[in-house]
Amino acid sequence: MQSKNRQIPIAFAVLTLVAGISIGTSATQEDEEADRGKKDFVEVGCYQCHGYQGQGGPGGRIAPKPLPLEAFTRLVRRPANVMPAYSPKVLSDEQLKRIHKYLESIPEDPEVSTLPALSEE
Amino acid sequence: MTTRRDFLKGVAAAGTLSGLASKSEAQAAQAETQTRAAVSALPPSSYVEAMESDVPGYSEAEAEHYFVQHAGSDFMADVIKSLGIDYIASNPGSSHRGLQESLVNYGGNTKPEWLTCLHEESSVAMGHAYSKIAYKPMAMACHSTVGLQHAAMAIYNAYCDRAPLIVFGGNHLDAADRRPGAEWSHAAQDAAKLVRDFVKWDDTPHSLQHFMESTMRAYKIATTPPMGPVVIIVDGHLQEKEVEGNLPRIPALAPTVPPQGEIGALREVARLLVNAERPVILVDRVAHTPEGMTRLVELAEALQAPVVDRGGRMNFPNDHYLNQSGRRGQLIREADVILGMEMYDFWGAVNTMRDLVHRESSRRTRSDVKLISLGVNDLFIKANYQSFQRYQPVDLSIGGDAQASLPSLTEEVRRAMSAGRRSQIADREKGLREAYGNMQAQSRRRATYGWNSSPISTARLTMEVWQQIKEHDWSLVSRGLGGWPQRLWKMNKHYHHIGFSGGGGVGYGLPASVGAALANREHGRLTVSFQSDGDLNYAPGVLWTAAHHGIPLLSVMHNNRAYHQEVMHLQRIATRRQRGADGPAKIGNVFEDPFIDYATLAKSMGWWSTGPISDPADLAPALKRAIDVVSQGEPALVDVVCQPR
Ligand code: HEC
Ligand SMILES: Cc1ncc(C[n+]2csc(CCOP(=O)(O)OP(=O)(O)O)c2C)c(N)n1
Ligand SMILES: [Mg+2]
Repeated sequence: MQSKNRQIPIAFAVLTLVAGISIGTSATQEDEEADRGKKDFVEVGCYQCHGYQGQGGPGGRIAPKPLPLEAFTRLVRRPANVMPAYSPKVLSDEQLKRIHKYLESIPEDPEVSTLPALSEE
Repeated sequence: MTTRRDFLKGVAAAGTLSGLASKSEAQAAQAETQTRAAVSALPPSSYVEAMESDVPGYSEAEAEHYFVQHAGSDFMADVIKSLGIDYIASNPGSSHRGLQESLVNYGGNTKPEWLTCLHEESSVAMGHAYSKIAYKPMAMACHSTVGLQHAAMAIYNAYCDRAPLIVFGGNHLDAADRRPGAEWSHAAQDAAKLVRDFVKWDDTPHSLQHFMESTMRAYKIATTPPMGPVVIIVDGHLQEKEVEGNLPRIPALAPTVPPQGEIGALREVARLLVNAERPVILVDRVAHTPEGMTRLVELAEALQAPVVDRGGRMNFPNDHYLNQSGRRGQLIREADVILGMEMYDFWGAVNTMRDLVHRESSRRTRSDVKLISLGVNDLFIKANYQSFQRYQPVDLSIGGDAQASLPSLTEEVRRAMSAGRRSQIADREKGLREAYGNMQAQSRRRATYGWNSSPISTARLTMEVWQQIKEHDWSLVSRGLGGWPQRLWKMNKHYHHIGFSGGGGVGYGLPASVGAALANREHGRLTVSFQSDGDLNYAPGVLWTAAHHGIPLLSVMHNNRAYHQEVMHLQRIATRRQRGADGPAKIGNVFEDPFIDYATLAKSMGWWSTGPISDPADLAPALKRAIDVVSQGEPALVDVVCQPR
């Protein structure tokens, strides 16, 4: 019972990856970076306020199509308002780059008009 | 000669209506009791047999020793019944066993019906939310010191949320009559002191007359705006001993009509609003009943003023174009007159203070804005607990119940409007409708973000639930997940939303949804709750209460496997201190290793359940099945693993 429970996060991670990044059969370096970026994204806590897919929550939407890396980095180092500032001591430029790759790899969301659950009726 | 028992029977037969018999007669009877008590353990002699009582086979002395014919708590039950209270929620305890027995046997366990609760916090939170649907209070019985300690946080929530509750607490006041042990540890000199800072009133009656008067008074105080909890400490001896002397008459209750704002002041408010170019109506706990919603719509329409609803109650329909809560920031920034009604936190609505190292505040409003406050906050305030929020200076402050004041205010608005002004004001409608439409479209677009993600997004879950409930007569009794129902559901009935905990004491959500579902039951409504995991874990025993009492409820879990709010707090602090990232933010804050299996937990308490569901495609069939169960009158839980927020 318990061990079955414990496997669920792995299933999630895989599902999220499948949904979030279309992993090719032979993982390119880009894919690997995005993959590691996803782990960083979770490990340093971005998911907490922006959601696992960067879709937004207490912090706004940051994926797909994140800001260009430079602006992105600036806003993570020196946030505009209440987001905690991540100094290089807790988040390296490499990690940020990978996180950015991950966010870039997230596919577009469906259009409102294609979702019956969001129809106005 | 009338024996003491005959005399008492006469009193009881006269019911709760008549007062009779002289004091000296009662005293004589009492003296007799004391003498008899000394011999009553003996087998019946021919002497005592000759004095046979009305308990067949027992002498009068024996009967007095063994039995109570007319217990004090029977009269207490009469008083409680006279108030029209339908339920009394309780975790049992000997300090209120007399009252419990009276309500169950003498009172027939109906109006009020005794609800079996597994934690005092659950009893109180059930009553808290119940009152917001039933428009009347529930009662609770708590076991003296310990029970009241358990109940305390939930009482605090109700106090902050202005919700009426009648809390009875047992106690044993007379030290000479306490059994050793529990009756001492469960007794207090002043039992209500523990919660006195956050109840409207309390008393510790010393006689049945006193009980009756104080309970009636307590009920009036609890239900007069600003409403709130009251506590009556019920002495164990008073409950259990034989009634002595006259039984008081129970008068009919005349509820207190709530005060309306002074008419001259309302006229001035109307003048300011009518002359304003960008008036905003800011509301929090205005609508006690559907009437409040109707009256607020009238005011907003008369002024063509956007309404920003903080959601403390269901104040304003969200399918009305004047509900512009989603444009709160801009509206407050641009307003020239803001009327804040029954605001829990007026300061917080017109100022900001960010969670940064240095706490700095700034105002959100124009410097020339006129601020008006209308509500009952100034009519009742206590010192110790700071739930009254930061002091907000205003231009005009009116003490009065907002709902009660609305008809006069709207009339004054209409009166203050010239024909020319009326047409200028009417011209605002087009722009406001357009802004409303854009706001709605933007919400729909935002809801698509992360639509297919797993864990499931809060917007997706909200809309999947909506698809299944929208044809039912539904009632949402929890927080709206991420604010999505307020944005995307059609909420236009007073029971479509019941506000929040008030005091932010987590653990309110689950028992509150059960209490609200109980109030909805007689209306045949489909009660829906979004249930967070941390909240459920405080006192899950109320799941059993729902199953046991046949309370239908659809509980859809927002399971993020964490006290996620606290995860974010710890992250903020760690990042500020430039150390540790997510790993440490999880310590103390997450439910992992093992995960908690809520479906099994609910099942063990008699619920239908399913989950954990993490693929959004599985939601619709699961929700359909759950709603079938709820439609049969039972509770059902769907555990959904969700995005953090
Ligand atoms: C505690 C919550 C929180 C955490 C954790 C957090 N953010 Fe944010 N983020 C916010 C908020 C809130 C904003 C909006 C701006 C502000 O208030 O500072 C924001 C804004 C941003 C923006 C700017 C978006 C824009 O378009 O202006 C970026 C980029 C961003 N966050 C990236 C990240 C990354 C990457 C991480 C992890 C390293 C992260 N955030 C962690 C709350 C958070
Ligand atoms: C009685 C009580 N204890 C602790 C807290 C602090 N607290 C605020 S939010 C929160 C987390 C609640 O978890 P959950 O209900 O799962 O909601 P989530 O934050 O995960 O969305 C806690 C522990 C509180 N408000 N009340
Ligand atoms: Mg949680």
